[in-house]
Amino acid sequence: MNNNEKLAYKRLRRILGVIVLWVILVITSCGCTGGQTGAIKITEAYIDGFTKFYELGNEYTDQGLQIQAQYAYGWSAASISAMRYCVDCLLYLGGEGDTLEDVVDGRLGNWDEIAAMNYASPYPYYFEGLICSYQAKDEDARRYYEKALINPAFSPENDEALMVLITMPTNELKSVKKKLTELEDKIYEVYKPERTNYPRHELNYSDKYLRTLARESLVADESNYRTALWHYEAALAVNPFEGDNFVGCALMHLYMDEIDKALFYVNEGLFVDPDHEGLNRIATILNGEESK
Amino acid sequence: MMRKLCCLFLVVVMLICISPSRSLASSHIDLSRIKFSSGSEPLVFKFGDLSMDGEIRQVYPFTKAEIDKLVKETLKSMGLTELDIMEANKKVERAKRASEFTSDDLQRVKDNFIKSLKVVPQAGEVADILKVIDQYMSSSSWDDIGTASADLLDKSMTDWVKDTASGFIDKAGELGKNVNKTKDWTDRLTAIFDFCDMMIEEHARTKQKWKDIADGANAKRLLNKFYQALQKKIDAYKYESDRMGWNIVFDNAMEGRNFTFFGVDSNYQTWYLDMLLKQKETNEYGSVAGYYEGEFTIRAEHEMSNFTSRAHEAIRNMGEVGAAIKQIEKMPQYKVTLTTSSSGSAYISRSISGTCEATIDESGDITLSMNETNDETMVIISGMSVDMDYSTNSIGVKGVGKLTFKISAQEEDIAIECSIGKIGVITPKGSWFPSLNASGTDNVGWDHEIWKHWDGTEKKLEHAGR
Repeated sequence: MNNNEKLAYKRLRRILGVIVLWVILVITSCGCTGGQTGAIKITEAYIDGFTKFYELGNEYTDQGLQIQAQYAYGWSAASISAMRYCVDCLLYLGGEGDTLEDVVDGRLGNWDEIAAMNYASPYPYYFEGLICSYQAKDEDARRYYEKALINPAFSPENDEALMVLITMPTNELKSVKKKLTELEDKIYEVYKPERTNYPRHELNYSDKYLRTLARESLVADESNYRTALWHYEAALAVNPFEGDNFVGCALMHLYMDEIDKALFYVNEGLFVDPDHEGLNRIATILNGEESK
Repeated sequence: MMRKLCCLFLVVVMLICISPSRSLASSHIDLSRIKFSSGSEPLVFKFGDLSMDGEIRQVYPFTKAEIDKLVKETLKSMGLTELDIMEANKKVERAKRASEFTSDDLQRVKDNFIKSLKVVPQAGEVADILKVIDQYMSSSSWDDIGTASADLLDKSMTDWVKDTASGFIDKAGELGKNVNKTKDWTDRLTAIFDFCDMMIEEHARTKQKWKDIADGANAKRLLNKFYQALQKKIDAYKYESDRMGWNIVFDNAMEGRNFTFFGVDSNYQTWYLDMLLKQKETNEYGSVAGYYEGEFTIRAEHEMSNFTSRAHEAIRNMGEVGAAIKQIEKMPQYKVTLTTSSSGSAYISRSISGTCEATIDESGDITLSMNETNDETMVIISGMSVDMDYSTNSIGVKGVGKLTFKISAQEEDIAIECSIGKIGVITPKGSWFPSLNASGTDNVGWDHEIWKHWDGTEKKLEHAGR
């Protein structure tokens, strides 16, 4: 081996050394963060899922379907804000901020208010349970988990994966929060949640249940159309695709001599449930085509 | 034979194919929201006992025909056909908008509804109200009214729910001790992604239903877009229509009558009117009410053949000449014969023009004033002549004579030139016809009956229906 060959060999060894060192660094880096990356991916999958409801709301708005748009925005907002408030609570419990309000920083920080945006979403109960679990308040957590599980929209085999939130370090929680607040800002730019005094209840996801409450209120007081309407409107809010909910609202408004509102519900109902027999019959009567 | 049958069949098929598409067209645009104006209303101009037909018309008429034109333009500009609109209408026809109802409609609707329900809610009739609700709802509620909410909650709290919730508690506890537990879920990432994707579809109910809703919404959007574009065109047209206002128009309107001229009947007078008044002021855009200004020309033409052919009748009514003839005729010893020896010709026309203004008030009453600035009458009567033969009888003596009257006029004043043709005396002993050459002219004036409907009469403009 002459001098030139030695020099070339030495240079090759140096280059190989650099490559090997880089590979080791990459592998080490992956090994350290592999588990946490999975947690981030899980949370991001859910954020993407919730985002689709927001996009659906935009589509409904474009199509002039206001009630359905409110439903989709509300579902997205209730789920996203619940997740963000959960992250805020975890950050606070992990030592961030002097008070929880500091961490929440003026955003929604009340489980009832968040859930009221759309009772069809099971996630406010679930995340509320998660915070209780983190604080080892097992009985409270169990109660909330049960309330989430009653809602058929909740998928225990998949949704339990969101427990990764309680394993995330502060920097990752902050990263998740950043994504969530960005999405919240986008949603609340187009969606102004209406303040409702309808009390939170674990069965409120079910429009059938809410329609039954309306009937119960009429049984209790046959002229209490306002209360019955309150329940029917709640039913419509959690399922604006069911003609029966539109029928309930229309009939109550009719009995209260609010014909224009009755017409509104009949029209909107027929638009999303064009084959609904009751709505079609009401429409026929309204159009004066039936005079039994 | 077979070929003929095939041809016949093809023709029938083509006719069937063509006919429906024609009948479908043009009736699917909902113009119910658009209020049309008539475009024109009939008017009558009255003077004396005569009347002439005209109209008040929009400069840019806003009629269905005009709108149809705008509809076609809008469809073309959007690349649509009327069949597209028909299809879109079908998709949303049941979703009639509340905004289409007027307050009258609302009352009617309410009456219909209450009547149809047969159930007017009254205190104590809760069973009926629930019956109505059940009648119009597809799904039934829980039967055990009064305890439904409690029962449902009990039923919902199944062992599965309780067990799963306990499992969550356990898993949360384990996570606190062993962060690597997350690996279980990380391994199921694909399933979680799929679930998150599916979540929205779950809430979107069935895909077909969503497709129907989306189709309906798209159809509604298409219709909205079309009607917005159409409304825009209509608004622009209507603005122009309103801005340009209305015109009162009499375009060569005609009226005629038989009339008597110097005692000769069955002459015919025809009036022609051209009048245009433009709306200058209105209290409301688009209304006919307002102030109008314009010009008019009315002219009269005459057919005078009866007058010319019966000049011998006319002359009896012409001033002093006529009076003298009548006087002679009355004398018993005179025998007078009048004959039209030449009918000549008579041309009479009159043209009156000027400015006019009219005001139409809110009730539709019209006030018209006409200011005549020019009034020309042309009279050319010439070549008419009447011979008067007369004779007198006294005992043994007979006087005979012949006078010729030439009737002419260059203005509204008829001149009669009288000349002696012959004069003589016949006795049993012989005749004497001296040669006399004498003539004279007398102006006998004019028969103003010819202008009785115009001169000094009130001129009125009225709506034809009044």
